[in-house]
Amino acid sequence: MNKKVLIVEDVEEFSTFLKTVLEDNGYTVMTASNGNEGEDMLAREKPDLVTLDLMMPEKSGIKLYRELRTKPEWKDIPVIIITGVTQDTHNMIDFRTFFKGRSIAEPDGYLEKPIGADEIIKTVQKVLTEKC
Amino acid sequence: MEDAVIKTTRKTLHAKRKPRFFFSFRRVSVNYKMLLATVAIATVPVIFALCLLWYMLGVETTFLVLFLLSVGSIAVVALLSYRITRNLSQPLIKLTRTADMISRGQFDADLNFGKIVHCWEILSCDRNDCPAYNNLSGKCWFVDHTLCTGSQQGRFPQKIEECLHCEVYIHHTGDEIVQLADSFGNMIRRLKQSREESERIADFQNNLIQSSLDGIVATQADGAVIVYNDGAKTILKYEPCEVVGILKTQKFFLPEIWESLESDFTSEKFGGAGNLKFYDTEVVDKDGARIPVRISAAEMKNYGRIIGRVFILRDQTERLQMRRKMLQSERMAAVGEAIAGLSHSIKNVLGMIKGGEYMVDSGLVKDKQERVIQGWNTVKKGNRFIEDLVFKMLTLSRDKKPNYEEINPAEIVESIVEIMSKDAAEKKLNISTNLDPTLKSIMVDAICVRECLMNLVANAVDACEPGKGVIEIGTKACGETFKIYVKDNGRGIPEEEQGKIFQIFYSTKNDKGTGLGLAVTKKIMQEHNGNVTFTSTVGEGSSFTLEFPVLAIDSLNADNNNSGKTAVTK
Repeated sequence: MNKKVLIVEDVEEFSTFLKTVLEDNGYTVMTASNGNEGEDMLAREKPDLVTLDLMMPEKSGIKLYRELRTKPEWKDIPVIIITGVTQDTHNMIDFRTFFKGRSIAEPDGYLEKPIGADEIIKTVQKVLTEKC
Repeated sequence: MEDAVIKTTRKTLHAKRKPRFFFSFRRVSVNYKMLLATVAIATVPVIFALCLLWYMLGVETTFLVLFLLSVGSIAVVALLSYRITRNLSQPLIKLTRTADMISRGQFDADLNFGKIVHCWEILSCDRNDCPAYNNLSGKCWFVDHTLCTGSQQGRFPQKIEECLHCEVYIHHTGDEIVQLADSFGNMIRRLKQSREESERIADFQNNLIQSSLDGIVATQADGAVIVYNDGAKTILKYEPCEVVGILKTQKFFLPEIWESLESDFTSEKFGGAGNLKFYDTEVVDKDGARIPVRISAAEMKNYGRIIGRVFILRDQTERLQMRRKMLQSERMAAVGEAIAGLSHSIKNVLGMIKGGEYMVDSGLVKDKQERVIQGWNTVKKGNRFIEDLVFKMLTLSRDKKPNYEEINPAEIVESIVEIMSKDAAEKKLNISTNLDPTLKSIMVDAICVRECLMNLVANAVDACEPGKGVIEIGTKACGETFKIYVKDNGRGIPEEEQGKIFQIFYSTKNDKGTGLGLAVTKKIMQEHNGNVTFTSTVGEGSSFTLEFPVLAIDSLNADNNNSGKTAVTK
């Protein structure tokens, strides 16, 4: 059975790219364009993996990630964070170390844009095999 | 408790003592003494005449007896007269000598006239907390706050009424000359005290001035320096002996600085006429070096007449260095922030292009034309984004004067509506215009203003919910200024973000925006001597206003000619 991947990403072009790559590699893909949509999607279908962008309008990826890691029914879903923002200089946050040493677990994978198709697939496969 | 006991003891002591009557020749008035001396002297010829009469009348006696009697009475009278005049003249001589000494500035002269009295001995007093106790320098009735009646007495001369009946006072007082001498002595003592007091105050004030870390320079009305403290020496490097009474304050300033300082002194600009408050300027030290200082100065007045000025100088060198360092580090931080923002934007675009590349490649391999087109569009969009980013970065970084031209604002607004209509139609938004018919021509850099308006409208489009958004673009003439505004009914800007929206690379649109749009808009408006303002409520929408000053065409022509640009004429 194909693994289900939920892409939460607000840039349409990048979302399409991710979707294409994953579908080409045999995954079933759902997309959401912001945190709220992602949450709805999570409630409706239980994905095997979530790729999450951090900076999004409405509900940010950070907020959604916090929920993913605190709600018991979502706690075990692996999450890969894919972002172009490594630092939020306005709020003095470095996302690469943001979750280190906090009460919530670190993400299972962390990818920085720009990324190629190979890298995406490698990380997705690695995270899924580690978790299962 | 103890006080009360002492009080009672003192009272009983006074009660037991009956006022003694005693006669003292010292207390006899000068008038009587003079009278007595005159009578005594007058007695001599009288006695002599009586003796002669006696002898001539032939009273039976020997000449020798008569002679002895006469000589005896003369001697007695002479002795008496001597005593009387001595009693009169002794205090007078001492008084004269003392007055002479004091006039020569010797304040330590002996001021005890008449009989020396020790009140504590006469009254058998043991209150050693009384200021008169064991006090050899003055009479107790001149001493303030004595404790004779048990409670504290007032100051001289108010308390003298009480003292007039005191045994000690009665015991001491002499004739008018002694009283005069006493008063004189007390006067001198007071003078000495007040001189010491004023010396002490002057010392204290001098200490205060000298110990101030700020430089203090006071001058007379003619500008000659009379006070120059250590702080001033540290700043100006002159020794006090080179300055006080020799230099004038203007010596510490460059002539042009002194001139403007003088005129600012009399103006109302810096804390009112006759004052300078927090006046930042430069002084010139002994070696000719220019030192940044902050001056506070004021005119000193005496009964309305200006008697001089006081300058307080604070060295600003360190503060300015700190500020420079801080500015530099702020600039470095801004550069760092800009680089981080820029690399973030570039990474996002590269991510987009890389995705496009994959779509094109895989589309070609799998012969999926739709995917190829999609990928190619993504690549093109990425390119446009980079173009936009570079253009905005350049606008922000270069220092540019607006290239003014006369244009109808409607032209700009309509061109923007045309460009944005596609995006608006995609989101099913309604863009309307509300143009002020009186505003037919404005003087602006049309390309830049178009850029500003484009940024604002693009933001408005992004802020609106699909299908529900209403955007209004309008113009308005307001006397000395005119406005172009963009109003939307989008999601609004949360209060905590409102302070950040003009910062570079601040974007809530993630990868869709460069994060430079509003920063560029602000820069362009500053170049136009204008302003960009906004109001926003979450859930209700935002309104951004560009406000420009109305400019006279002639002045702009002159400006443009000077800067070598082509003049724009009607």
